[in-house]
Amino acid sequence: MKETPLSACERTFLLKAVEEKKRLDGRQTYDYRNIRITFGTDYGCCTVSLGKTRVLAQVSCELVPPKDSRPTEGIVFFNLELSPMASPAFQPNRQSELLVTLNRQLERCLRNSKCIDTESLCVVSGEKVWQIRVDVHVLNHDGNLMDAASIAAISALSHFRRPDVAIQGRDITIFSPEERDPVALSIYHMPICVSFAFFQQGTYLLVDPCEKEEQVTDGLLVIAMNKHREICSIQSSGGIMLLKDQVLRCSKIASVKVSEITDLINKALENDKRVRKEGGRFGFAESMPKERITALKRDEAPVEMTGVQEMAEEFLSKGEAAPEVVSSPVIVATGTGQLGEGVQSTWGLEEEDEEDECQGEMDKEEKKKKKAEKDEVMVISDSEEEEVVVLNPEAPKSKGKRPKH
Amino acid sequence: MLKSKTFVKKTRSGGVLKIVREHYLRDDIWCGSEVCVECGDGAPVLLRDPRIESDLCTYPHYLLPDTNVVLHQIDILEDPLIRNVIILQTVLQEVRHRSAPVYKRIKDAIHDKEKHFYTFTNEHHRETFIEREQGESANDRNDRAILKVVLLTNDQANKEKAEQSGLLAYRCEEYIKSLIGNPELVDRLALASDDQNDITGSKLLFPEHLPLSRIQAGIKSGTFLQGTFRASRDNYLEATVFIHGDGEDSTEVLLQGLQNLNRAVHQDLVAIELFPKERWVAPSSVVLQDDRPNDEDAEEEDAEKKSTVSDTSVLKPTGRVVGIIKRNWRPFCGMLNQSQIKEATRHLFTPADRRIPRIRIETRQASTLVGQRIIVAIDGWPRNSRYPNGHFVRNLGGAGDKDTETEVLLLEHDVPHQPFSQTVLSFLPKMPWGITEEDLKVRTDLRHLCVCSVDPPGCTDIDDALHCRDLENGNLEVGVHIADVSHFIRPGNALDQEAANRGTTVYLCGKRIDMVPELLSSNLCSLRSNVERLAFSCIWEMNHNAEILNTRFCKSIINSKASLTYAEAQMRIDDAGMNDDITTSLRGLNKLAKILKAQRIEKGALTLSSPEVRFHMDSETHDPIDLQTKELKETNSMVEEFMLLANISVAQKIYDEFSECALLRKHPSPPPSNYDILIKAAKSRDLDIHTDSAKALADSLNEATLEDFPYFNTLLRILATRCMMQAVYFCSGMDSDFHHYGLASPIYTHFTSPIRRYSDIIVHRLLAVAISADSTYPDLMDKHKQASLCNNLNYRHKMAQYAQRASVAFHTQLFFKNRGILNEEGFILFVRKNAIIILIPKFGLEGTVFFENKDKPRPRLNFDTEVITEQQSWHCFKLNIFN
Amino acid sequence: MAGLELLSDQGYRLDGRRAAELRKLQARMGVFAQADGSAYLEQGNTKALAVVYGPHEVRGSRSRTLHDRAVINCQYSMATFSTAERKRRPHGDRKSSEMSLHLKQTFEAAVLTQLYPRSQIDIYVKILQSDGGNYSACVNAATLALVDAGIPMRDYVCACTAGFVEDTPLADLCHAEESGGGTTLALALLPRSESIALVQMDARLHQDHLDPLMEAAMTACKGLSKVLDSVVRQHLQEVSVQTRE
Repeated sequence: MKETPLSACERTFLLKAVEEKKRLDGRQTYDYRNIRITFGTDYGCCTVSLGKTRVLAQVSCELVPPKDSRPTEGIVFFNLELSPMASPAFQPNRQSELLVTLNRQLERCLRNSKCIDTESLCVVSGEKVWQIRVDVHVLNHDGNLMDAASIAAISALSHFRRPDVAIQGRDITIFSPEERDPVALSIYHMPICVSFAFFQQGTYLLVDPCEKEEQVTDGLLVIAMNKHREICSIQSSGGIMLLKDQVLRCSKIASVKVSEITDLINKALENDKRVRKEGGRFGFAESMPKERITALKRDEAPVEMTGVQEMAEEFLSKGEAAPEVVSSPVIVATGTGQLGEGVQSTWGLEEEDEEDECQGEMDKEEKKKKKAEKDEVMVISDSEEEEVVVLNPEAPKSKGKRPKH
Repeated sequence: MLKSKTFVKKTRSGGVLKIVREHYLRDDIWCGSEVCVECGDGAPVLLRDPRIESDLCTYPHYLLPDTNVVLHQIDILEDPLIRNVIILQTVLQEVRHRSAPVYKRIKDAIHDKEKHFYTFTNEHHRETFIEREQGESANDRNDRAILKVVLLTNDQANKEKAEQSGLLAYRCEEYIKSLIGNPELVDRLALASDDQNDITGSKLLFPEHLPLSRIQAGIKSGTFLQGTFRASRDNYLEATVFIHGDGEDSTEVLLQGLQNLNRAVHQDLVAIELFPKERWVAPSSVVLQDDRPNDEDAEEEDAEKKSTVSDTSVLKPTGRVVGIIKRNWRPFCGMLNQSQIKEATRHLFTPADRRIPRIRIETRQASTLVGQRIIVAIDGWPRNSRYPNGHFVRNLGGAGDKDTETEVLLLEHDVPHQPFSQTVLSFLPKMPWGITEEDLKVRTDLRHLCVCSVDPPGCTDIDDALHCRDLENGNLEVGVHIADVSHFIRPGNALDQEAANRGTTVYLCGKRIDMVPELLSSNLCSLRSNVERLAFSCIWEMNHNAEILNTRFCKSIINSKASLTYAEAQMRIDDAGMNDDITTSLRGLNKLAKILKAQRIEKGALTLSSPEVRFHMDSETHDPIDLQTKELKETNSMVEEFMLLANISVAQKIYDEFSECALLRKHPSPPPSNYDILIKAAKSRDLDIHTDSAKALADSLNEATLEDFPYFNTLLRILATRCMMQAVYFCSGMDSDFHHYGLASPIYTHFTSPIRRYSDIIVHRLLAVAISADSTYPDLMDKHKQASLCNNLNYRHKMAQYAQRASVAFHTQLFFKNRGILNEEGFILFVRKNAIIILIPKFGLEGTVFFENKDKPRPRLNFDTEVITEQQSWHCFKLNIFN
Repeated sequence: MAGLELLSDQGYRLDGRRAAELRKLQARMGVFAQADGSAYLEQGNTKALAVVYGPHEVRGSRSRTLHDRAVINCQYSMATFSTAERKRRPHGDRKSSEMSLHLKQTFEAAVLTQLYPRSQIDIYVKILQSDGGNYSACVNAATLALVDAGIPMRDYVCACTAGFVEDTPLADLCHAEESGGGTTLALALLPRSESIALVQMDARLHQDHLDPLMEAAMTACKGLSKVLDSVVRQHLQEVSVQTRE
């Protein structure tokens, strides 16, 4: 299924919002969405929720012969999958551009930066080494898959434990997890990707774009850093023109964000270790909150509400005067009501009238939509649905006013 | 101008790789001389007027050494007199390939501004670039490249070529000798080897290992012998092989020299061939360490000179290794010796254990690993390599850091210290645990008895408790109650297997590696005061002369009234005012203990002392803040006596019941040769030690005192401990000698500490069957299984002791680290040809002092080359204590 | 054998260049008659061949047509004999796809696609010999090919790699220097406006070193642009001379 294209008015709205430094869900330009990291019952299984984007990472290991050019080093293999579960735009078994980009970026961020000590994965030099495989699956796509995937991958790697091995002469014994506690991987540092979205030829930038914002962006800059302020990888994509200062500024922002996220990951790991030690219950089932009848409830997002009242009144005053109002329906006969009088239908003429009126409607529609979005205090969230507008009996009679559900 | 270098390389997998590289030639490489007006060099290095007085070249000149000169005569080049030398890039690169340390030295010389050495990048200068011709070896091409100012060479062929092309070339010797002003340089001339001896890398080649089939055939026919290879701790060129003979005797064969050692590593199972008697040698009395800082495959300089020893009795059977039957490598801890060349990936690793050779590893993270303790595993030892090859396993942490060092210690001594696995923990009893009705039915209820325990301060695993009370018939009832661990650890399950593998609890300074999980060791089994606990009791009825009238064993429930420390118990006994039950009980025990001890001394028990120190740990930083030698109080010996008595009684009982499979402990009497050191030491002060029987030894030790030297007696006793054999566990069905030499007892076992020793658990099980309180299981009765269990227990026990000693040594070092230089009294224990071994009793430190190469004040010693004597004298040594 | 010394004490690299010097650059335009534009570029030992077809109607799926711009289609491939060991799979593997994507994005930014709505421009690049700086050579060759095809661009797109060895940034890395384990930064620049079309970096680098590294890369790109410019002018002269005759 092809993904729904973004309509032109949504696009302009988003761009305008970015210019005014406002975002759909009320964040600031450099804010991340809520990150939640949870671990599963097995070692090496981790889910990360970045707002509504959800990504699952799983680490596994096996003994294989090493590469010829590196007989003393283990192998680390990354694989990212976009399943159709995540978004209607993803199709199974198709190597789309996005998949290639994400995979390469993940590999570059984690492998080339040597965050895992591969030499310690060697069991017998030249014959047997551990191959660590990281599989990342995208469960829900709401923008910024790269960051979520990198956080998930590095958390899963930090969480993973491989079986313990004892070497005596030429004999190797591998202990199962029951016989001996498995051993953690030795991880030098945690590289984390931070994505910057650029708009209007690089004039504006946002951190952690959500899906809608991603669709209107000109280009993306991904910087992977670790908390020691070392840059592990930079990658710019999309046809944007950057200046050197922008890149440097982004790297500074990234370093701040990365240290926050690294603290979060460490805290989550600590929690999990503590819970396991105390014998408490751990795993995904525990971490998902029990949602009962609140399934339809949505989180309220704080939106800047100052000045809305004045702006709304301004619009109202500027808006066209409403056409005549019909007070109440006239009941002609049982079962029928009449609102106003029908207009004489004259073939040919009527269509023109209708067209004109329709045009006028459209303008009003747009204005009303904008007004409605500023007016309605109630459900301002990043919901996909259109706003609910309460049908007012005093509302002006206008053809083509369709009640929105 | 661009040229390209093409050469062919071989890949690891055996394929052939063609490498093409660009090579740019420049015009802007300066000659570096102040004289030169053509080059636009802003900062010339070579002086305008290089004056060296030489009668060969009387004009000012610059020197240009070639590769061989740099490699061999680096000492001369480093001399401050030699200045204004041009080193070619070609020469520098060749040196880098051949020898890393020389490369480092020449680089240092170049950086030294005073010496005015200049590196000329001739590879990239348009005019001096020589392209490699077809079929020319790299060496020749390099030679051609060099031939272009005064060439200083030793290579005859080079010299001729140079003279042909009209250059001035001199042999290094001639030139140096011609330097009028400085004759001492001639001394620094390394003995120039002949021209033929070009350094193409002398290949070290070990003899090939024979295939297994031939080895087995050889062993059957008797040409080869099979044994365990033990490297010598002091001399890396020497080792012994223990050949397992029938029964207990094992012959030792000496191996000397790298070629004879033939790549065997400590603990391997090897096949050796004996040399004929004419070639037998004596064990080396030199202490040798493999101190070379570099990794070279060059021939080993023969460090030992074969001394002609006239005394043939010292000669030992000698041989060489012909093949390896089984390798017993394990991962080794140690530190990395970074290679001198910066970008190198191959480095040498020095293990902590001195008996293991150094290992060559390949790693890219050398700079992060310097100064860290790392673990390396060996992969193999090819024939042409001086060192075995290995790979990096993991990084333990910074050297000198307490946790890292403790970890290293535990790993090196093969002490299992991982946390208990889930399976093991699943066999623990569920908390809260209490004594059930069932237990009350089958056990004797002794909760009313006034039982107390006496242990070192801070002890949480209390194994034993005692009581003593008067009976109506005037006799005394004495009871020893031991924690009933075998009730919790059922045979065969994972908990039991893990405990059997660990064998013993290891006590390090400040840390304790438990044999059983803490729930049992410090809580459910530990006989803490004022809680009811299950116990295994041994109760005697004695008269006031400590003669045993009646012995009985039973499983019981006790309630200890007090858990005292040695000091507290002693105070109670001494305090005449206290007269409660516990104190009367203690006094009774004390009195009996004294009588028992006297009886033992009569029979010939030995009291030897070892320099033990105790650390006071700072509670926050866990650093040692003070050292104290352990003092023995009366209460120590009181508890000890009763433990011994219990052990002996139990030993007798289980042997009576199970003559085939009782787990006992013996201490074989040492062969007379062991005592030689002791006798010699005593003789040096004109004292006699009699060693024919234990009693004689004990008596003569008691008499051996000197008025002016009170510590002498303790020293002698310390020496005597070194002469002793190890006490070992054995299965009664597999051995016939039960005697315990040290305690002068005909039979002995371990019964009183099941929480920290596995042997005691087995003895508990045997005893329980003997008194019909428990059922048997097949493994208990199988003497072969027991024998192998005993072997493991002995091994673990030995390793634990070494680990404990090493931990004490480490903490002592830590303690001294912050103290600086101290002056202390020391005593010489052993004398070797090039070193002496000194003991400092106050700290319990023992160390080696070499005679040469250290600038320590030389002690005045008489060294008699024929008969090695000792002088026990005290010297003040300035000891610099460092890591 | 010890590792290679990437920067000697005297400041010379493995092949004799100084730290900021570029490799020898040679280029020819108009090598194929069939294509609309073509160019052959040698940067040191790295040889790249670029061919441009277009602008022409969108082939393949009509749905990809953009109503206001041209679609740029890139394909990057390496010859099987280009590396020291024969490559098994010249196209379709992840690295090639990624490179193609990057090339596409770079040129989408540089080419004035608004002038050709509803059409497609194809750029095919092949690496004949790979010795470091593959991406840069591709971008440079493609620039020349686009110029040869007469497609209007905002500016030359010049690309260069830079690396870091012991506090000194090196410009234009060869293969041995790239695989030596240090940092590699690849930069595609439009020299006149100094805007960066693509930046890509692997391996760990401290944040403070980013600035000098980027500076070095940008200077190198500017130097490159001068060479490319001279090549274009020379080619133009030759062509005009020919046509005049």
